[in-house]
Amino acid sequence: MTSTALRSRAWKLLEMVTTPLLPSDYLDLVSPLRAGADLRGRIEAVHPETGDAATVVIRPGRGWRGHTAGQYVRIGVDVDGVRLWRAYSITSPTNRQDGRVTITVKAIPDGKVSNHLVRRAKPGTLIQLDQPTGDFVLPQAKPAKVLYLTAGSGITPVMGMLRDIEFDDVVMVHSAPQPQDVIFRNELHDLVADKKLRLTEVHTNTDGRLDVARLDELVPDWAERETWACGPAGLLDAAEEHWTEHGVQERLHTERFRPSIVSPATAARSRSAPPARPSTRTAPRRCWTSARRPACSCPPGAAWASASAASRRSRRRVRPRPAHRRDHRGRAGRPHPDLRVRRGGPLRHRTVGAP
Amino acid sequence: MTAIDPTAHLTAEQIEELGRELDAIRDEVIAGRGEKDAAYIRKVISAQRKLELVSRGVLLFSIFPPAWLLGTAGLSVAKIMDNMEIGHNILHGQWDWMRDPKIHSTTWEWDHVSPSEQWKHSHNELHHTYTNVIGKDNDLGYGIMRVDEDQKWHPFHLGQPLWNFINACFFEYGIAAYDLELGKNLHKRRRKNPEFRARAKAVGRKIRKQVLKDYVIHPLLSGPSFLTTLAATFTANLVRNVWTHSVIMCGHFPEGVQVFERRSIRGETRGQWYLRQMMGSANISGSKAMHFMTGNLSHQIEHHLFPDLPSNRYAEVAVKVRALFEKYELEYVTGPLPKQVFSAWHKVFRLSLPNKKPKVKTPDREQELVAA
Repeated sequence: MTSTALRSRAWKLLEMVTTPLLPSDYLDLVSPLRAGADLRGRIEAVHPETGDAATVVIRPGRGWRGHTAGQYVRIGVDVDGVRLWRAYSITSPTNRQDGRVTITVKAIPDGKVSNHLVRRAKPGTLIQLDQPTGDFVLPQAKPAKVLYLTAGSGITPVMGMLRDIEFDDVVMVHSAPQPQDVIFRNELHDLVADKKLRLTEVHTNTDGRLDVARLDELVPDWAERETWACGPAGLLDAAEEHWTEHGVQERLHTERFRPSIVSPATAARSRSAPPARPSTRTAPRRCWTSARRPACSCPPGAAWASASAASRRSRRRVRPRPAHRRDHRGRAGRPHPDLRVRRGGPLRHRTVGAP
Repeated sequence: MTAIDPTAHLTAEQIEELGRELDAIRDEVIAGRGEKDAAYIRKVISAQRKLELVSRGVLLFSIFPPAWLLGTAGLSVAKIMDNMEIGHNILHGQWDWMRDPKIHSTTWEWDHVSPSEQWKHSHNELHHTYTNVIGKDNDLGYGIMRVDEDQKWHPFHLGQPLWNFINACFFEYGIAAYDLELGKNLHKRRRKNPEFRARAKAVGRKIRKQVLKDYVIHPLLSGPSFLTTLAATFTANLVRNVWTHSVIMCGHFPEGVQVFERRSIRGETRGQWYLRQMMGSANISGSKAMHFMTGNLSHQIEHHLFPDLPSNRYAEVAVKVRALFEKYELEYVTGPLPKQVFSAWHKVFRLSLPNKKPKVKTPDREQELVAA
């Protein structure tokens, strides 16, 4: 008998011992990050970056397959006891020696997960992970000239790229409200000092919003550059228009942190049948944060299910059904409307066992 | 036997007000659920798993009497925790708000021969909705006993103290049979119903797995301790069965608990539904450890009012609920476990005989006779 067959027999025997639980339910008690376990990670440190952004250092479980620079990861975090899933770009380089990965999170007003991660997350906490994914990555062949066009927390996937691969000619145009809001500012300036990067910071509080038409002046050869852009939808829409106008749209790669609003009915449908690709855009869409999602009754998981189905080709596991979609059993004990007769009548009682 | 309605002094308006006050208690707990509650259930689950693992480990050497005693006691407690504080409450959806697929009513399975799916239907949907309504709530005597004067007597009931004792010893099988509605479904015509057959098969599979684990594999792994481990797992199951049976009997059978006529729930309002749950359940008083080992079903009244609130909150809810009982002048049926168990057993014995004919005709009966 081969060792694989032997192992599978032994595992079956273990399952018979642990029923109705699984052996992994017990193994999780001692080794939640082991190979073969559901993919999890442990927060090992949280480093503040700016007043409202922090880098979270995560030790992923043994099942982690590694990422490509520019990709993102979905993480499930328990906030006030409730598990919430969000996607964040990975900011660590792919060749990090200690095997840890980092995400960098900007706390947004009323953002449950982002505020939790930036201000309250404690080292040692376990989080749930998905395998990294996303098409916002660098090509196999090194482009001669590169432009990174970013705004706000849109710098995060690009930072993952900057830390990963060096190019001969890299220009970055980054926009943030004011200098102290620029995440990774020191590191960027170090790169500039080492002549590895040319950087233009646009401070919107003083300079106003970045107009893509100004690129001619900031980066005269922008149209020749392979460009990766990430930031608010307004900036990306303008960039796509601009690049298309000049007939160089194939050189522009965008990553949208845009919320997708899905009605509960659509979300339910998307669970049984994957929806058609949501739009003709080539860029992957994803739910970045919940706070930018106006009055959406469905949970992040549901919005995600539909919005990102197209960009999830590489995902192996099917997400568990969001817990909020409780079926009738979840409302145990509350009389089900269909079960109750609705007609008038007195309530009658009797004392049992009275003489 | 007189028909006394202990809620007769309440106006319809007051009953609705009572409902609103109970809603407020519920909303307050829901708004306050958080990290501490999540940590509680995770801690209990983790403790249960460790206790079970260690106990089964100790039982591998059960040939030595101290190991047998320790292992059996530990395994009994682990099984009780699994069924009561963990299984019963998770299957009620009390922890679904955490959105953790591993601790969720739709995915949980328990150490019990009745598959959780079937139990959820008969318990959550039927018993908790039709609590103590004669003819609707099969928990009133589980279909084998008469626990109320209004249930029709049959010579079969003469044996009910014995039926109840057997049911206590093999309670998990009793529940599996009950969830399958065996009494009804074993009729010739129903037996072939594919839906029933599928459910019966699922129960068969679950029983096979449970039996294999407790009575074959674990004893075999114990080697020379085979027989003693077999005795240990049997004892642990017996202890769990008798304990859960006793706790559950105390929930609705003690004297003072009300039952309801089928027609009384027609058009029942939310306030009336709450009132029925208040009058149809009984608590067990005791220490924190006692509440824990009953899976907080010692707070049966609070559990029936709010079946899906996290069990660790019932103790604080009970203070407020009890104040409402006093405010509305209703009887809060509660007592220590031995007293309540005795009360329930007393009723099982008493009602095994037909009702005594009333010596004096009460006005109610006279009216009924006149009407007839």
